[in-house]
Amino acid sequence: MDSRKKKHPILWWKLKQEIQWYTFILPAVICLIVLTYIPTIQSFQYSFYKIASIGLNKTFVGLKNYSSILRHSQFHQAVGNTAILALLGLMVIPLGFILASLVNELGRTRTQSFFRVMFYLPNILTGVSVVMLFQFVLRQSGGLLNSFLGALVGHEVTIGWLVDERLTKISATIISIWGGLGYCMLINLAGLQSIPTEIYEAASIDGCNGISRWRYITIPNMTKTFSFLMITNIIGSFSRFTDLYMLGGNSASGKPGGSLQTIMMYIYQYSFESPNYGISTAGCMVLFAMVFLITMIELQMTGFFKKNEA
Amino acid sequence: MKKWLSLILVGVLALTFTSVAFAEEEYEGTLRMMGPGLFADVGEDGVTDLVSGLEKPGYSELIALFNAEYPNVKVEIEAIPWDSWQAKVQAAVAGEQVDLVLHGATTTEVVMDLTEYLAGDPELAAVLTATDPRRTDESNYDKLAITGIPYTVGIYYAVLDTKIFEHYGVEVPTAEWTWDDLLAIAQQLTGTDPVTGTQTYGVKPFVSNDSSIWKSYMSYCFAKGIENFTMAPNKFDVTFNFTTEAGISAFQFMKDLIDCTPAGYLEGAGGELFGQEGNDVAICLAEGPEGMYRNLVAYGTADEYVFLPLPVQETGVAATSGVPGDNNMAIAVNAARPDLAWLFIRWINTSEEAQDWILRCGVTPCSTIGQAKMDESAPYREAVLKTMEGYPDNFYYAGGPYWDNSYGNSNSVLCSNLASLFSGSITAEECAQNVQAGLEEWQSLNG
Repeated sequence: MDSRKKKHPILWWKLKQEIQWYTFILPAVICLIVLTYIPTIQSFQYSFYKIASIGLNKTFVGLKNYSSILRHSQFHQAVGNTAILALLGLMVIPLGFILASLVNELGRTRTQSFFRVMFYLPNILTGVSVVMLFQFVLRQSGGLLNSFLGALVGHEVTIGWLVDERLTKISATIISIWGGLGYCMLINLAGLQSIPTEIYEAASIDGCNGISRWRYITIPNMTKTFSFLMITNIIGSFSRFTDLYMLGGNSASGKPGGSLQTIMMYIYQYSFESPNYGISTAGCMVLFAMVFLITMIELQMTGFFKKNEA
Repeated sequence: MKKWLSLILVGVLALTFTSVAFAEEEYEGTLRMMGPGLFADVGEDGVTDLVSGLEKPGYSELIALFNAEYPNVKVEIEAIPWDSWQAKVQAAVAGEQVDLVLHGATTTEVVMDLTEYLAGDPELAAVLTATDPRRTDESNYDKLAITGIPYTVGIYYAVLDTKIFEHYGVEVPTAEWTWDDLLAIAQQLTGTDPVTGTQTYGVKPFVSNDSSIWKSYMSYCFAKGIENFTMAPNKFDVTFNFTTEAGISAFQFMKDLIDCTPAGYLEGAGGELFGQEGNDVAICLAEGPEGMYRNLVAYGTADEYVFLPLPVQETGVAATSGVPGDNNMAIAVNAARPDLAWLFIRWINTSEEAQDWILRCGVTPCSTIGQAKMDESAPYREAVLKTMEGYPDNFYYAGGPYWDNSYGNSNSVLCSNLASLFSGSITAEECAQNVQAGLEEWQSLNG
């Protein structure tokens, strides 16, 4: 050993340094393995068993759980609901852009700072309190929105925003846009402020007017920002749970008519409300595959892999 | 002589020590309990009801009473809230951390079959007014096993505001009323109060939460003898009859009933003033009448309200269509001390002191010993006794021919479609078809 140390002193020094560095990250790695990777592998294992109670009886069923899920109409509805809510939620991006454009026109002044903070405030409120507030606003009888509409039309309005399955997705989208608009506005504002002003100056010299400036300079320079927001919104929609759970009456069934049940809620239902851990873990694996696939597609579309190759 | 005396003395001493040791071994050890329900409601040290002011004793008092009789049994209790309670109980049993599962009758995979325990304890069986049977074997589905022993019961009942009846000139029904009578009365009392000029509503079926609306639906089907499930030895051979004329009529009845509820009922609003000045709901269907009565006394309006059992069961299976919800106890399938668990179950249902404790918690005991001690002047007493005396043996209301909630997320399928029916987006026939299709699909995917 000593002779090897003498032969390769630098190598040993490097190894000693690396061991020191690894000891610092070892606790975090252990936590990650024990609390994330091992449960993930166990979940994958459970997805091939019929388990009514973890730790007691389990029966190997192969791919039956996956087959059951993929043929279950309720799961299809959950996938459809997730996709529709994700697409509806993307409306926050253009709305955030419009708001950011208006705020950007104020210039870098205190007024702009004030509006930036005010528009971002809804984002820092807890999800539960926001949903409770909107349950009051969207109530069918005596709710704020229906009262306002009633005042406009001159007679009582009793639209079931949260009880009519044809309208619940719109209501859920209103809530998510209200909560996420501030964040989108900030990101868009950052993107707008990062566009070099020289481009606009050069364009104005060439006679470029307002709409053309917006169309040929602003929008193309904002594509990366839009892509980022689109990816994060779509991935976020797959994990959406709290507000939809509360809107469904503190139930994962996505009432009324299952119109608000997402994939995450379907998994929750079979984990905690009607325990069937084989089905719920298989659902987790299917969800993982879907999110992975969508992420890869989006990264490919935004040229992420090309940049890395370069 | 001395030798004989010595031998006799040694024999007596040996016998004494053996019997003492045996007695100590039988009632000695640690009993671990876990679960939701009454113990969690009252807590270790007791609570005071905010509305009625009733001071409910904590479970530490109950344990002290138990230890007065069985001083060598150490009791450890973990009372948990209702959130995800089934998963928590399953995890506790899997971890071999519990002997007695509070409210464990539903978690059939992790608790013992107590049928033989009860058969071997005729003294306990004689005092119980209900047991908690479940269908535990999918290949023997027409057989019931007792998986839990109730210690309290909370009957489904109706409470009527006689003032609203008076204003409309409608006669208050008797305990022999039917569901059709209930609907007719509710429709008559939905409108503008002739005396006060305010809007009134006929009925509020159970709590303002459509996750509980299945209780009204199940009670109606039970009352009319509408058998939505044709039972079979194998769970996956059971057939569903929701789309028959009778099945569809049940959904239509529910729709007509909901039309008599307060605005916003489906969103958890409406009827908040029930029992108080300004109440606008004539009939309230609920579970566990004791708390309602105490609130009425606190509001000073108890004389204006009448308690009735739910409408009669019309096919002779039971006296009323009301069923008893309950707090029950079950024994974990891997309990270290099942003997101590059964001892406690037996004790809480046969001990006078334990029954007094239950009554002081403001709930009705399951045991006849406790029910005999109920306040004779309590207006709900007759409703409780009528419901329990006529309740059929070995009957599980949520796992039988009228409704069965063990078909995956069948409760969710039912409540979700009822919500769509109530909002007007589907008809009663479509509701029946959807519920039937949902259960049949579960059967085909899991069979």
